[in-house]
Amino acid sequence: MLEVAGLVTNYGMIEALKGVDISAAEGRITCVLGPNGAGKTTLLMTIAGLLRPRRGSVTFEGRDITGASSTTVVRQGLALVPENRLVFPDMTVRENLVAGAYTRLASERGEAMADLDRMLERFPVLQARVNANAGTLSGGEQQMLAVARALMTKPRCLLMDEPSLGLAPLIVAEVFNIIRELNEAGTTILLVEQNAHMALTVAHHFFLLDQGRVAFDGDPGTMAEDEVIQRAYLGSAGG
Amino acid sequence: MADFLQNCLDGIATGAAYALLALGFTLIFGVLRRLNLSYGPSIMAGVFAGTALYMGFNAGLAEIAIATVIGAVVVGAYIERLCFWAIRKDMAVASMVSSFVIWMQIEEAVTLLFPDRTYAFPGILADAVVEFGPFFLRASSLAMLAIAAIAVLGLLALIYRTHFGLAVRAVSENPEAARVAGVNTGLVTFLAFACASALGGLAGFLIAAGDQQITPLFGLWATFKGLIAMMLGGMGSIPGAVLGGLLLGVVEANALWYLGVETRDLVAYMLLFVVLTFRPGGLMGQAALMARRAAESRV
Amino acid sequence: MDFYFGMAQLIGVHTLLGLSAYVVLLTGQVSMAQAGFFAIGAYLAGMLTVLAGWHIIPAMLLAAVASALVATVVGFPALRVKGLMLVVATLAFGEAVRIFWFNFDYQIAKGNIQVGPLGGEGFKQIRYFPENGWSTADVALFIWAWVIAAMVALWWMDRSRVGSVLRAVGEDELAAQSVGINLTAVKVSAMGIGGFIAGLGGAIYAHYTTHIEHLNFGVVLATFAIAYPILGGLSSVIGVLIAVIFIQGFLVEVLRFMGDWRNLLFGALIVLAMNVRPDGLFDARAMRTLRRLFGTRDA
Repeated sequence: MLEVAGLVTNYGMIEALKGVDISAAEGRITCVLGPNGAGKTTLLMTIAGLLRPRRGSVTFEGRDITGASSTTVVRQGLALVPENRLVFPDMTVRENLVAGAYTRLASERGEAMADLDRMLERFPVLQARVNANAGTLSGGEQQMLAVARALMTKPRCLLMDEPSLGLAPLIVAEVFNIIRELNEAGTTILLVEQNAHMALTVAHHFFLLDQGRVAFDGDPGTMAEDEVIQRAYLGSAGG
Repeated sequence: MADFLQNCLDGIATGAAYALLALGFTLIFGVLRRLNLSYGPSIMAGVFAGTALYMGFNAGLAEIAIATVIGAVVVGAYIERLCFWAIRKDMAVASMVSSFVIWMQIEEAVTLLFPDRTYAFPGILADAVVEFGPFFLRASSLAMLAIAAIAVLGLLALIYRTHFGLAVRAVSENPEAARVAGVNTGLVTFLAFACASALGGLAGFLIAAGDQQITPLFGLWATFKGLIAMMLGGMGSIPGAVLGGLLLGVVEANALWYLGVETRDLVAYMLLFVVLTFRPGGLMGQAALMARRAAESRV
Repeated sequence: MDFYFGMAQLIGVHTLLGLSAYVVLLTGQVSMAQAGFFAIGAYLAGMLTVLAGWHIIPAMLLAAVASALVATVVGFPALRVKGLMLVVATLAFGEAVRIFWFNFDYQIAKGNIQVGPLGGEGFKQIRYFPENGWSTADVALFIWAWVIAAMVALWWMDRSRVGSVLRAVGEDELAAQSVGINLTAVKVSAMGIGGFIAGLGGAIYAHYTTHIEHLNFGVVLATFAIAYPILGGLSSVIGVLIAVIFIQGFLVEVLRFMGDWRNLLFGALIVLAMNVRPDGLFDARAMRTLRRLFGTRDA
């Protein structure tokens, strides 16, 4: 469904991706693991149209979206849940969700508003704080909001950047439950994670990224979990 | 006491125009997080477009107002493309310097096209005076107040009630998150800039109609008044911009009355310096500043 | 020949102005008040030589010290605001200084004429150089002796521990603070040094033009002061000099044939330079190449 081939992207002066090939199959959860600085976030930002690649291609459902603007990418049905959540702090939870549906407001406003009600039903924590400013939410609530906002674009594929970052273990488990449920409802997911252990419990397929290159790819079980975790944290130095 | 109240009344009328300028700056600063020193000159260019129409074709007030607004928007668009869109986001100072150089360019172009020092501008209801008991107000000031109030309400409706306003707020709060949500930040920024220029054009029209004359120095004047009013109220706060504009108008009117014309501007600069020193966030910005800090520490 | 000496004088004075902004900019503060300090130096030094009959060197030094003191006093409240708010606060201060001189009269009779600053009329007859028989060449040499002294002092400072401290504050205040750097002391001293250099520049400027008025010290000059170090790439004092030569020597002169339309193209060229080289005409990379070319090893 999503194919990335030979992707090279600079982040500032550094070449963060040095030719990455990965793919995410339709209806599955694909994980990208790797140590800090491996290029995981750069990869997602390039796919989402926030960074321009220097070489390589990104194809989504057979259409070439290499270097397309983020607006185009969102319209194609690809949504990013960014690292550190990035909600709009001085806007209410409801306004955050409406902003998420921004690309749909002109053409299918009614449907978008119906989705908003469904989203609030789906995330009771958000329903409870619907008129509060997003900046006053807890970290876990903000993560739910970021996911819900991405879902408001009605994506067929969801890109998630470190959803467990900085959350308490109980909340992390909840987030991963939501990921599993979303996937069961038909959304393809490309998940970038530091928390290799949690990621492997939901992944159908995983890639190990190290220093801007893919070091390994396989289904969970093709490599001992201990080794995956070690390499996900330490990179090649540990393996 | 009666003098003071009369000064306040006059000050509020001028302050309404300052508030419009401050709102324009706030809008631009919100989406760009950069300073556009050429905001005043773009308005000045618009006002001269209005003057040209007045002198050349003896056009009516409405046509002149429209020409002023269009002129300000066209020049504003030129500034946005050259000084903000074309320059990297993290080079805020380069943008500011560029916007200033464009200021020189606009002023030069206007002086070449209009070589005299001052030009006439039609007034609104020029000579009538409205009395309120012991106080009085020029009818033109009353008209200024009314039009400015309508413009402010219109802007509030645009920002808080429409999809476009939602996008403007999203870009102002977090440009990256706005891009993630699929907002075309470049387009939204450009349109917000155009709105700010239109607002400025309207303010320029009201002020020029009040003075019934216009000079190229108006650009400098408008930039400074708008900036000071915005900073007094608090950077990026819409109610702050309105409050800052009114406060500046009232303080200036009183300084003019009690201290004389030469200290009026000095008092305005000193007021700004004092406010920034003791309340760095401005009058209304402080609460927002604190709330954001609290929110950040929570995450 | 006089033309070239005149050009050298202008470039020298503007280099001092650029250097004063450079020091402050190293600590990450964008100060638009440099033109104000420059004005203080100009008026005070002029009054000392013309009204009090001082020799030029003590007059210059005292004027520069006074500018430095004012800059330090401005530096303290300015510490509380950052970024754009600092820009506007310092801009307001600079304008307040300009308006102060606009309203300042202090004249005494000297022979049969009145001398001294006279508000909007300006301060005429600062004739220390012609009265003492200095030729244009002497004046140019005199100016450049000061410029070179200032450049050498700053260059030495840049390479010493002081320079690293200033740059550390400019790069990351929090990190600088965490290694025990006193932010207040560093920022205020940078303002003080900047004020001193600007004061020197102003003192020389007053004497070589012999006639100053408040309009010489407006936003234009403040923007130029900031533009030099930015175009110069903030990498060294040489960059400032190169930027001054590029703008005052090259752009202004080459565009002279354009006549009245000069400023239009001038603006566009500066914006173009900012666009093409946002990190300055000579960024760190270009400086390295230069050093290689001249055989000095990279430090």
